[in-house]
Amino acid sequence: MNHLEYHSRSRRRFLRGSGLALSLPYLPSLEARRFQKEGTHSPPLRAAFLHFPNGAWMQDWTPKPGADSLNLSSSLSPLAAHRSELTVLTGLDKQHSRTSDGHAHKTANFLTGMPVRTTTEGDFSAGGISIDQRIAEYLQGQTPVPSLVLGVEPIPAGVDASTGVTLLYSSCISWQSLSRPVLPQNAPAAVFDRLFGVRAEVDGVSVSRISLLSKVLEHSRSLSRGLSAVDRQKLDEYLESVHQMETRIRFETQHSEHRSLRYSAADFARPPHPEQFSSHLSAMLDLIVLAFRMDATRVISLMMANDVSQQVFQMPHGISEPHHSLSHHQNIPDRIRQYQWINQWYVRNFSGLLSRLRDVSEGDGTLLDYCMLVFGSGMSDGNEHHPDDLPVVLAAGERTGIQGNRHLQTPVGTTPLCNLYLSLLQRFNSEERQFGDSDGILF
Amino acid sequence: MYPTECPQSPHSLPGLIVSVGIVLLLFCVARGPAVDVAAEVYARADADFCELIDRRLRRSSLMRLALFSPATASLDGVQLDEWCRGQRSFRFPGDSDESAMFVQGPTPSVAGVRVDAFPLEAAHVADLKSFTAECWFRWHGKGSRPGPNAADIASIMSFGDAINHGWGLSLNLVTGHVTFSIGRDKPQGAASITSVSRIPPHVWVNVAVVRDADSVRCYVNGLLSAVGKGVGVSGTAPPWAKLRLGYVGNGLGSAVCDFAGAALYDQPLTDRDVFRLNHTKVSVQMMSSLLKARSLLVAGQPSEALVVLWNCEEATSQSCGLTEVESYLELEQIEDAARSAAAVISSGDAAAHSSTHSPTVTTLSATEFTKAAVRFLLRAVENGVTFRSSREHRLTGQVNAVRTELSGAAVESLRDANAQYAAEQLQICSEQLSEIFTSTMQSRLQRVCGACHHADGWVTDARRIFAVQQDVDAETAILRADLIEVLASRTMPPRGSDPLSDSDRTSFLRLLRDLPERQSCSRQETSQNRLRQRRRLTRTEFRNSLFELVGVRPGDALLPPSDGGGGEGFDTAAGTLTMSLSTAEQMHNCIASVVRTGVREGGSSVLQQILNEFDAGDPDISDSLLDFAERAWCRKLTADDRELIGSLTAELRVADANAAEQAEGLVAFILMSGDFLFPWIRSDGEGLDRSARAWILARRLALFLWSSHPDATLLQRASDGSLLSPKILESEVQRMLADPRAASLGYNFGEQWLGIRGFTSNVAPENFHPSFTLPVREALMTQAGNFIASLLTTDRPLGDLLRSRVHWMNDDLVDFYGFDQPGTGWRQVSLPDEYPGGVVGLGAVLASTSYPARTSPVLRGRWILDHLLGVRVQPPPPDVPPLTETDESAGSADMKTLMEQHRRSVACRGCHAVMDPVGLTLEGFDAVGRRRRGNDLRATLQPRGTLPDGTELVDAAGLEGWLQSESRAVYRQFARKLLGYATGRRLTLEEICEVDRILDACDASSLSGRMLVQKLVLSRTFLGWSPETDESGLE
Repeated sequence: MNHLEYHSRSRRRFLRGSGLALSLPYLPSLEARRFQKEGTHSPPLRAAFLHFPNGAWMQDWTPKPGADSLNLSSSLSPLAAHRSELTVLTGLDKQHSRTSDGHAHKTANFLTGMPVRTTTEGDFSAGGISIDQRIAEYLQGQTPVPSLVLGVEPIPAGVDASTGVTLLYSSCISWQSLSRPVLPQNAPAAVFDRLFGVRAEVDGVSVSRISLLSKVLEHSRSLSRGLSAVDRQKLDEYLESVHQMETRIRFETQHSEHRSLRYSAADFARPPHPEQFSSHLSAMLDLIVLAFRMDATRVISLMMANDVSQQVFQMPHGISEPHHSLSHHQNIPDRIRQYQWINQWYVRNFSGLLSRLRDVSEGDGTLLDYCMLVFGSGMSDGNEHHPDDLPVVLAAGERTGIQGNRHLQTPVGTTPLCNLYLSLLQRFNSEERQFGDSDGILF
Repeated sequence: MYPTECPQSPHSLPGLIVSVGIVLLLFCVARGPAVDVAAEVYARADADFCELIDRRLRRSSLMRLALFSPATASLDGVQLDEWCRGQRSFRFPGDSDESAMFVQGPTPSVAGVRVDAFPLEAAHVADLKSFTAECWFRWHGKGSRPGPNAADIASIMSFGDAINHGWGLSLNLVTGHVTFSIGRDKPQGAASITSVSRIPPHVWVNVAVVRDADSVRCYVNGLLSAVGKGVGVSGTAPPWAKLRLGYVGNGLGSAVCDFAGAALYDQPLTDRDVFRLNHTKVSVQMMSSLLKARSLLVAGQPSEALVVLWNCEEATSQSCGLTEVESYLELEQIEDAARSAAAVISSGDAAAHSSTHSPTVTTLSATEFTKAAVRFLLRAVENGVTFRSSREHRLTGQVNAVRTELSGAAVESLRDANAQYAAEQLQICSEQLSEIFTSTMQSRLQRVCGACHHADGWVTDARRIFAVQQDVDAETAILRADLIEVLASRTMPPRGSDPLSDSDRTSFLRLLRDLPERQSCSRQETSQNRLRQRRRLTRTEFRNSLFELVGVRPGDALLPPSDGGGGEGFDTAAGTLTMSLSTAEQMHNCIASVVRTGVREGGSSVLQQILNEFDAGDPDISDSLLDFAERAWCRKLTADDRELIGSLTAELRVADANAAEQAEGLVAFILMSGDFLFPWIRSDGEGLDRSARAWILARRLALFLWSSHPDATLLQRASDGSLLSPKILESEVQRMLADPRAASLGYNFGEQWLGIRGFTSNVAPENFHPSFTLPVREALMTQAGNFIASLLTTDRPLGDLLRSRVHWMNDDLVDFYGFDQPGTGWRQVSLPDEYPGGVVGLGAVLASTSYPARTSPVLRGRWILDHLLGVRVQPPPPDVPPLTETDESAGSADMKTLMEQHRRSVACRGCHAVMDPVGLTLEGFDAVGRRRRGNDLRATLQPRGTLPDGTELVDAAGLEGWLQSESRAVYRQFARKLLGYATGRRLTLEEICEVDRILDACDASSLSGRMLVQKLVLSRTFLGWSPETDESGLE
């Protein structure tokens, strides 16, 4: 398995290079000592949402029925080690994606479940707030960083002329509001800087950063004069962001005991910019682990690759065609085999993330015990672009109270994907009874 | 047998019938072979009207049931009352089962009549899930409700009891609206629609109702008046269910009506069919006239409206609704109109007259208007009597009644109401006409194109293509143009599948081309330039601007995430440049880091100056800092600005920051301000002084030409306002294009236009093409950018886009191509003639339109159509049959043979008929863009493809020749994209027209890139104002 070797090699290289080493014998004891004073408080829950592109070959994804416990298909077999945390969900759908063809209307609303507007202009919309941003809103003020929105491939500029949509849709799954995407960060170093905040990079200015920010706010407020409502909104988005930065600095001065502040960027090297797609993805997964471990944030979304991703993979028998081309497999067995291989590749990466989370101790268990991770795609079979019976799995640690090792089947066409999201939102003790197009909860 | 039937004494019949004023005659039942069920009843109509309807029903090959012969007697006679009380039914003579029964309404004085047409078997009618029913009736403006508290609803035509089973058409006696309902008391299954049109009293109207598989519709006089989704659920009709005209009972009242005929068809008629039954022809001209007349009427210009309608009737020999309008206008208004038209003619000042009217009228030339006025006047005078009588016929008795009773003021308001009503009617009429046109054209389009394109947006949303409206958005206009183009060029529908005969094609094209009120290039649109707009800097602009101001180039990892894109397809699109916390944080961190490096390790000279002033410990605000702020914000500082900078300086001093920290903090503040991060990108200049406009222009110019911030020279021109002079502006453009910073036109605009961004990471990995290393890919990218940059910044003609084989190459590329070209560094190298000319020959283009393992004529063909020619290529229809494609390494496959599979499939043929031959000509070049050589099987083949019109393209040279013949489209697309990049939005149709004017004003192929940029900068689209207006105002 070429890629696995490559995968672990690159990961080692990154860890060595970055000093982000999750050096197992050392950390548990150190961290245990460090965080002993945190007392009896149970560690917080975390949630992550990972999107993989171009759907999946469902015949080799859906677990075989019959057995009492989870009977993993070969695409999902890399997750066998995490069986006890795993729930495979089949039959979930996004009804608002049924109206149009193409990827945009399936991807942009992966976490909103609401209709996506066909447009190349500024009136774009993903129909509503995404679940990660909803959770972030709910957890506001508990961590220095409200949420991380991560990606690997750069956001493509331009429009898809044939379907008439902005390409923004194929790379953004996180939406602060229906018209306000959060552009995924894909530079590992920048994400790293963000976790450690102002103190990492510009301590010289940090003394006065807060008064600087308030002056920026004061000055920029006057600029909205004479602007149309739409542009004023854009400028307001900036002002709001500046205000949030201010809030973060205040948070860090007021919560000097917060765990994240006990981590110092100096203990780690900033990750270099990865050259290969696989090592890039791996770096992003490492950053998820770091962010959760530091408790810098409790909710993260990751676009493992933009939809319509054209990544080319080194497979056991040669190079694949670009991923998106293969996803239109036309029911040719050889193409399906390659397509399925790529599905499995992403599953393996997800499984790698679970392992890394399990390797970190947290409270009296592991970090994974406190995590809920959704891994899925906005469409099922990429050849058909169906937004029904989506390939979705949930990995939830034992402290989340969600039972694992099961196959949760709902009849196709009856259960919105948002029911899963609402169920997760409620795990954060939210009293929300509705999210997106939800009509109930799953557990 | 029918339960209501009772024995009749034959001898008493004639007297009775005569006494109620109705003579019933039985006609033979003529059953057409194709039509199973229909009923027809005539009652008490004018002879000629009945005859007309009779003819029409015969022509429609309907089965006729019975004819009530003409009669003049009133319905509300005593005899009828008696007849009704008897509850007796009339049995038709002969051996038929037909009979009729007269039933009195609940209020004896206003009796209704019910005619039960019996020969239709209930089961047969009940089985009709899809049907059309219509009837002609004349309502006398009164009727009776079934009880004191019941609604004023009267049954007109019904089947069954119209409640639990069957359906009913009823009339609201107060409002005049008609309602069609099925299964009314079953809310979950009820369908009930009410017409938008009102039934005028004393006028014959035709009301038709249609139920088909997914909707119910109601038509008044052939025009769609109501549509409902849901078709209703009706219970099974019992055997005694009747098809009835008039009173039915069951909570419905009766209306005093005359019936002239009724028909039931066993199939749902289309909008067009129903319209055709009532009107013989709908023309585009008619619709156009109606639209114009409508807006004139609404604008309170009835005389002009009438002129338009007269004109229409004259030209089409059709009713254009003139009488409809007349009937609701007071005679005085008509006479006023005639007088004013006469005045126009007599004064001979038609031009002056027309110019004072609304824009719609001014579209008639002065001569046309005069002609129309003359015709109108003559007709008006000649037909004065007709006017009068028609008015008296059609204005309801209400008007006269009210007139005698009400005061003058009330009459006035009634007239207003009538005028308003007329306008409404006309509006409904024209909307319905255009609705019919639109849906007819839509269904034709779907028939012609839908087999392959059924999932495409332009087919599913075809309405907008045919919508008859004055303001057509650019996208729709482009769609129309595309459609005209492919139909005219016979590219579509593909040959062989042909659902379109030649005459159909011609008429389809003519209708498309004649669509009224298409925006033309001559129309000046000013409103949208009245906007003022800011947008965020893009990632590239942010990086370059920081470097320009601070003198430090930020590393990639520090920069915010890349931006999406929209508009014409560029990241500069204002609408899609968003801001979130992570983006803002990254921008701030980047600014802080760059400023810190600049201050501590040496950045721009301004920064040094600022630091020096802080080092000197001057208690005043640093002058250099204020200059810097002015430069970064591109505007004069206000007192507020100074105060803010002053207070921040003070705060920093209080915090005990050293000189460097103070300078850092203040410079960072200036760069973090929205004034720097959100430049103006549109401004009409209104309310701004000259210098403010010039500052804004300077910044926009720098963003366009340099993707960066204005330099000192440009800012100088802005601050003294001279930049607004077209001459100085021209010279500035030329100076900036000569500057190395203009390379951004290549790496920023060029890369995005060519669609090769991501090429370095997305194309084949090296181990498939060993020589295709990352440095080579990066060099190819640079080469492509340089090609566009040098085209736009020098005197190279636009023709080079398609012709030039001179490319920039470094050592890596020379090795990659295997050329023997000595030299060092980047140098200009000519590709051999066998390579395609212009951008098509760029390695980055050829490779990024290939798969890693093989070339793709489809992707290459599509790229040429989409990027170069601006032809919208649809994505493949879903469910395309698989095309066997093998790996290039298999060696046996001839790509052309494979492509022929595409063209054999009807679903694929249309698009592939153009894409494939175009792409096939490039088959001599491998997946990384090099000429195939040696043992490559295809090196020896001569790639060729045949276009749908029969033109054969052989090899890259053939492609180049064909592109040359289409060069106008290429230049247009290129200029349009460049302007879209510059303005950061999708161009409107007028703006595209401006591009056309620029290209038309000279020989486009010899126009240099430099001049094109200059002309675009001086365009109204870019400036937001007309440059000429400023020249006069200068100095």
